[in-house]
Amino acid sequence: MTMFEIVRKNIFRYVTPPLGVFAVMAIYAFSSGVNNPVNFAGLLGIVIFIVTLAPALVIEMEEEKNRGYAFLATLPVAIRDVVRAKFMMMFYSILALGAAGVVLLASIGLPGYLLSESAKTLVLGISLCLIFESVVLVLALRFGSAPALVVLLFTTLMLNILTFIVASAGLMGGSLVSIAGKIFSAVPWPFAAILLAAGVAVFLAMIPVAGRVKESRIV
Amino acid sequence: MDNVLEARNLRKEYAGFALRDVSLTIPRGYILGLIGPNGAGKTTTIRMLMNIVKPSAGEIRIFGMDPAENEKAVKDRIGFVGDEQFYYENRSVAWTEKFVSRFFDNWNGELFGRLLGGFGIERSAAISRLSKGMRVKLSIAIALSHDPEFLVLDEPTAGLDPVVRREVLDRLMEFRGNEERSILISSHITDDIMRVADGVAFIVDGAIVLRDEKDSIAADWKRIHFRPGAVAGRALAGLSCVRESAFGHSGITREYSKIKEELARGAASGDVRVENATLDDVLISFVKGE
Repeated sequence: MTMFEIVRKNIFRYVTPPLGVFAVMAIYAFSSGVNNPVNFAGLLGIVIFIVTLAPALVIEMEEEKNRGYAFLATLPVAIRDVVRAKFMMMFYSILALGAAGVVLLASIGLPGYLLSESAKTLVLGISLCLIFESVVLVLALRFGSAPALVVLLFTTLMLNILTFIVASAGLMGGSLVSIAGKIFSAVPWPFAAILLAAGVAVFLAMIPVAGRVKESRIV
Repeated sequence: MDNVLEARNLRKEYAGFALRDVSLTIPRGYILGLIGPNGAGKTTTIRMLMNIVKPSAGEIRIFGMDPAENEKAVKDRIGFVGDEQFYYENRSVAWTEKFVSRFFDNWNGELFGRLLGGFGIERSAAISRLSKGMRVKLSIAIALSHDPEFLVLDEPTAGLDPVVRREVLDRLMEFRGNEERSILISSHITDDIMRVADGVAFIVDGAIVLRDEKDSIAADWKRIHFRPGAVAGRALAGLSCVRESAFGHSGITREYSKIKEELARGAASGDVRVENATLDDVLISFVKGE
């Protein structure tokens, strides 16, 4: 059984939100133009984070509601393979949307320097997506999707509070996206590449951990 | 004769409960009933065999393979019906068939359709609208539709009315028609085990306390009814669960062949009456332990 066959029952949940939201972002970029490409790249990173994590958590909620893993455990498939398939679906979604984001940035006619800065911002965003989403999904498998969602909301709240403190202190003005954009654009490309590799490594390392976590908690 | 199942010294510890050195062997073509009171460890044992729960010690071989390492290959040859039936509730029976059929190499849609028809389940029926009995029947239809060599059934008839219970057991006997197929069936409804099993294992408080052929149990385990004073000495000492009864007293022996002669005179005079102990009697004897 292939990875695709395992996740096939939820394929629309995996594909529809990313395609829909990304299409809206592309229409916006081409119709209104992009005043601040680095901020736009940061926004793309946040959008990718939401549209790849949200379906995964919704699917986990459905599995919890139906005791889906207890059902799957009666079938000829290892739960660790089910978990791996879900992780890989998320992994490919993040990377595909990241690549699509770079293509989108390149196709709106940015000058070379700005394209490099905005692409780097997106790469850093994707790296953080890989790390954070894999951790949240492990938490969802271990403690349930509701506690994982609480962690997610708490983290978002803390980031916004941090943004407010930073802005109030006069260190950096603007929104979370613009502050992230400023920080990310200061990061050199080699470091961004290393962070992307680290993101991929952390994500892939979380897969066997998640498999063991779920296998120990089927019933 | 080769064994479809060999489980040795399985252990599992939970807070307030431990499964202790459970060993089970099931030859090909054999039906083993696993009997025990609620909470004795039947479901934990079966979940370990299905790799749903990891044993803390012990070894399992199904078709000669470790199910933890060969999950796909092993489960492809097993039909499983759990003590609870989980499905995706917002889906239909037809969707469920399509979903599960992708996991099995030998899925037989035509057989599944026939079983559903026999059970009176519509393919278009919503899972959420199925009764408890229908859910069990659907589970059995799924378990049988991929030509399994080994059926593992955890309390499949619990909570079912007698009509549905009989229907379910009839299907199991039909499955057994092929002498190459084996069944492990757990239940605390001993009548069901009596009807279908070749051998019985009793599990009490996390340990197998008796594993024997059904015929041997019938030969060795007897309920002795006796008038006061009619049974004494070794025969009386060997009785458990001695109670007052309409006859006088009654108790259970597990060594009838050894006390048969001592009881012969009382039996001849009508002061002793011997009857086969039921599996319930045997179970109660182990649980009460008197």
